[in-house]
Amino acid sequence: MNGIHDMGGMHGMGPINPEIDEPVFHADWERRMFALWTAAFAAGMYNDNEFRFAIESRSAEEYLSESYYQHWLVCMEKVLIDKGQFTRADLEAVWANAPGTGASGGGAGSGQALPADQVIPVFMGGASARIDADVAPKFKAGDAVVARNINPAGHTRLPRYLRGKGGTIEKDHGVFGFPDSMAHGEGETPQHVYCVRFDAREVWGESAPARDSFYVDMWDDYLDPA
Amino acid sequence: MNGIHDLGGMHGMGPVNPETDEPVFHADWERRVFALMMAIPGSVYNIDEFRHTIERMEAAEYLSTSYYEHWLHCLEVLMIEKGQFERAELEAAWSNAASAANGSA
Amino acid sequence: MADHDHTEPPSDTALRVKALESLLLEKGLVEADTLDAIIQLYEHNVGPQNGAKVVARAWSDPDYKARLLADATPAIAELGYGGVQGEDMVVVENTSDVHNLLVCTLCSCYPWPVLGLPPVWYKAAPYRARAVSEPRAVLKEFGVEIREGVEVRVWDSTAELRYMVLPERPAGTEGLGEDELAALVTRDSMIGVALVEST
Repeated sequence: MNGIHDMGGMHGMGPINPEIDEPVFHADWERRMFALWTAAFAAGMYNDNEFRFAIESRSAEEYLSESYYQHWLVCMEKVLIDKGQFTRADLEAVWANAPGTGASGGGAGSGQALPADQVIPVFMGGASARIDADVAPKFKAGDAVVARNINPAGHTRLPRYLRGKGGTIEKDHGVFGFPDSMAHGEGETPQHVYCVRFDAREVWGESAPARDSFYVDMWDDYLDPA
Repeated sequence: MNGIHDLGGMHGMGPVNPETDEPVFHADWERRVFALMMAIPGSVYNIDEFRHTIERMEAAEYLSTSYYEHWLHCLEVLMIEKGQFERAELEAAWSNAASAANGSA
Repeated sequence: MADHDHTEPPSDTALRVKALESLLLEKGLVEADTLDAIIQLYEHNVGPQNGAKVVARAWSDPDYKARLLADATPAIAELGYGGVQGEDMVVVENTSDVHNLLVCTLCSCYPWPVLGLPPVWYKAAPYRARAVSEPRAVLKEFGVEIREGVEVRVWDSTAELRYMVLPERPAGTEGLGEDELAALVTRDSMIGVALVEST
């Protein structure tokens, strides 16, 4: 979707303001939120693309005024309700009671929790998003390509600032699932992902430095031959 | 500039929500802001400076404030930038207005 | 439209997180010990100190550097690092001709196993908006002046590949061992918004 999250090249976003000696978390609730999200993710309750789309679907005003972990909080509530892990009524019951007392009035658990002794193997092991599928690549290194001008209302990982721009395939990364379908329960649509090089002037015009460039990973379905 | 005001084609902006029998102004301060902006002589600012002052608003503020709040923002910022008054004078006026409002309450 | 039967969420974010946590615990979707273990791992054990060791090894061992640039994931695993948000790594090298800069314009993709969790500024609108359209101005604000003849390459992490910058080794560090070198390497230098200084 052409949402506020797709902000590459936007002006008026203010100064960058790096924090000196920034802590990993700025409040205890951020710690808890991060752990809740990763534990539920590791237990397979949602995929990255579904969650990203939930964040992208916040209104632009909410997106800009909420903090990073506030996005995670409201979107995790929404995604888990959508996935049937609990109901809106369950959540409201906890809000109405003193949170933390465990008095939600909800039903029994589904028992898919990640056990603590699995944290190190699961997180240090990881799970590559690569898909072992025999899919032919549409392009090879050196091919001239154009990023498609698509404007889906759903999730996509093709940023607006590159649509319609010409680039060169730098490298074939192999086969991955397609975010535009995976975010919406429409399957993996396995296809090749390439590193594509774009000249800065192609993207931003003549005022960009002649030698500068972008390297962006793109799925087959984002590209046409030039 | 590629600012938040450049909304053409964006998704997620919500429903259009037309108001039935909408009045020209929704509050007395809107009347005042409109009249002030219109009354300031054209020699002080031009329409493009006016627009660009609104476009330079911080994105979150742009989205969370109303149309005539944008105008108010513009009036304050543009008049200071044009040297018509100083920030300190505006702040003094804010204090006076607050005192007057408290006094009359 | 107002539905007065609805309970509004707590306005205090900390309380709203606590509510979600208690619900997930009760539903058996998460375990309390698991949450503590995850926090311990990402607040204390995984961070830019890992990436710094990778950089120091690459500066000290040309064969390792060649493996790292050719196929980063197994080379990083040689030092014991890997996992979630770093399953498919790419390392890009800064040289006297090329300066690399990492961003994720669409969200906050970042190589957790080598750099830990991203700082707030990396995830926030100003950096994401500007890193692609005016990288040299952004670098200047971080105190990095790029010469005109140097190519700036911006890597926008749109897919499931994760990137790390191999910064240039500073002059005057010839006699240093790997631990001493690693101590010089900052998080920002591995994102590409800083150079490594010799002191």
